Amino acid sequence: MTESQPVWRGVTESALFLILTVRDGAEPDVRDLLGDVRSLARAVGFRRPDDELQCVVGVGSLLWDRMFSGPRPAGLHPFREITGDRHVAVATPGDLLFHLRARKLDLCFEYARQVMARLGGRVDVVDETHGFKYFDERDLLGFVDGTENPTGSSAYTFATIGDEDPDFRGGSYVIVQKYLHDLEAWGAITVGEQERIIGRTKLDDIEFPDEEKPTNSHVALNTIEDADGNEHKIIRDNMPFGSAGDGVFGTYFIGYAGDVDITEQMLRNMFVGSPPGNTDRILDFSTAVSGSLFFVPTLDMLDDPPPPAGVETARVESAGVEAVQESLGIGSLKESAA
Amino acid sequence: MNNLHRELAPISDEAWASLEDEAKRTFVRHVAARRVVDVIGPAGETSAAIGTGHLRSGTGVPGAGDRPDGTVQARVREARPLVEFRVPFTVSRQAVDDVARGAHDPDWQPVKDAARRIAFAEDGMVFDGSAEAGVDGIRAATSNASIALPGDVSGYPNAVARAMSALRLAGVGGPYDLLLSADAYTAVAEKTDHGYPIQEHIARVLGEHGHIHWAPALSSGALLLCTRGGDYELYLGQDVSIGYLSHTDSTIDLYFQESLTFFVQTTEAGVELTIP
Repeated sequence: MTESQPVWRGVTESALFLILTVRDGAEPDVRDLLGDVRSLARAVGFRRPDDELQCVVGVGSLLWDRMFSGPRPAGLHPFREITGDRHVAVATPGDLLFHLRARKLDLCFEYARQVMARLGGRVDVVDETHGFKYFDERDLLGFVDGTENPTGSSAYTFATIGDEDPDFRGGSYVIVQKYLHDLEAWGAITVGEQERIIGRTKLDDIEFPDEEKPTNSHVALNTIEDADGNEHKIIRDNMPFGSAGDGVFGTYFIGYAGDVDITEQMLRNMFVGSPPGNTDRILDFSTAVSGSLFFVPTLDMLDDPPPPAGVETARVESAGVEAVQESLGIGSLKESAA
Repeated sequence: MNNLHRELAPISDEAWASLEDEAKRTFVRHVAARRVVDVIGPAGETSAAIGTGHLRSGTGVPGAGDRPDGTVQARVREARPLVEFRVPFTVSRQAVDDVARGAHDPDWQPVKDAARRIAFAEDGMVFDGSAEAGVDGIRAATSNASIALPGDVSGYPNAVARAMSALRLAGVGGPYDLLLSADAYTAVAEKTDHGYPIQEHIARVLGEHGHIHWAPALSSGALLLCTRGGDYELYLGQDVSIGYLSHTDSTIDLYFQESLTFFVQTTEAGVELTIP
């Protein structure tokens, strides 16, 4: 039985998002660390078990090829920039994602600190964002976020890879994006307008009936149905973040999916529009400043990773060298020849 | 490709280095032919034979022999196959692991014994040849009459001088090297003539470019060879290598291996000195 990383654990009070790029040559250190992800979570989390520290680690496409040989996850690729007429979902670097969740931020922080202590000098930090719970699961726009997350066994189905990619069954794909909100402009429109942008009522979080929901609302564009009318969902665990002093108000989007096409389709709907041009109105008040895609291996794969990349070529090369060197190399002993 | 499978042996890099040093030292000490004949190669593990440059008529080749009108001629190119020598030996894992523990005096006696054996095998091929491999050794190939060594070692310099004369008369110039069997070498090294060492005497006879070599693979007597080059050629396919066979919890089975063949290009370039 493959055991997945705790991707669908549900929203928590605190989260820390750490994105790293791995320097050349540090791949073995990262391989070592990946094997210790669980034990590190136990070590840190056991100091206060009630606060339920959970760590999910994701591996970016470029790093995957540097670290592992053999088959690769079908949906793993560098995050593809999505460019619409007015909005752009930018792509930014990232080799490793640590998604740390707990009731209290200090556990997340301690875990991140331990990771950096292990990898310091061999990785570069692309982004570190500390997310917090904002009242009753609201984002900084004032709306409840994540209401439509699937729960229970359907959460597992949506969040993890199934039989379509048997080598990676139980794994997952995660896309993260940082959005910054223009709260001044947002605050300048009426609550009724805001509700039509989101597609839900603000105070009591009730989704508009389909006939009243504008087609360019956030909820409408992020509802993905296939030809048979089945809805496809992803698991989000967005967190607000910000700096009151600097006027930074943001939402850290994180979406897990077994089928990364679903998440990408949602983003295309938002940024390009569905139909094209009918873009998500939330983007008039929010700007994506980062975007990365990672594969989330199963716990079993973290414990027993695929063979290192380059092993086969290295073996061939060394065999070539050794074939020359493996004899004792005595050759001629004639003095005139020496 | 690598057929030695050394990476499968439970031997640390340090132990391999130590073992190989010992093997090389022992082999070089005992081998004599490589000091006097031309060594060509190693050509690589894939080489199986060395072309002689000669042809022989191929009347037995289908399509040729049955045409008496001579419209089709077949000739077969001659090649001499390489002979592969392999000497298995067994080392204790304790000796191997001692090296990784820092021991500088591991017990490599099995390595030394095997290295000596393969050195003797190589020299034996050069001196005595092998009918199966189509190799004429120096002794068998020489066209010069052998010269008897006198019973008294004091007469050895004189015998060497006569052998050198024989080579000169056969049109073979110097320099000349003398290979002495273990017994002859010991006799020469021990003996003095009125206080002057026989070994020094022989060296004077050989001249400044000549050398005396200890050749324990020679069963008896001595060989005087011209070392100008081009007369004797030792072809190596695979130079002496150490390979891995198997291991148990206490021992590791390894082997020495080399492949070679030997050509005498000038039959008059050597003289055998025999002990009657």
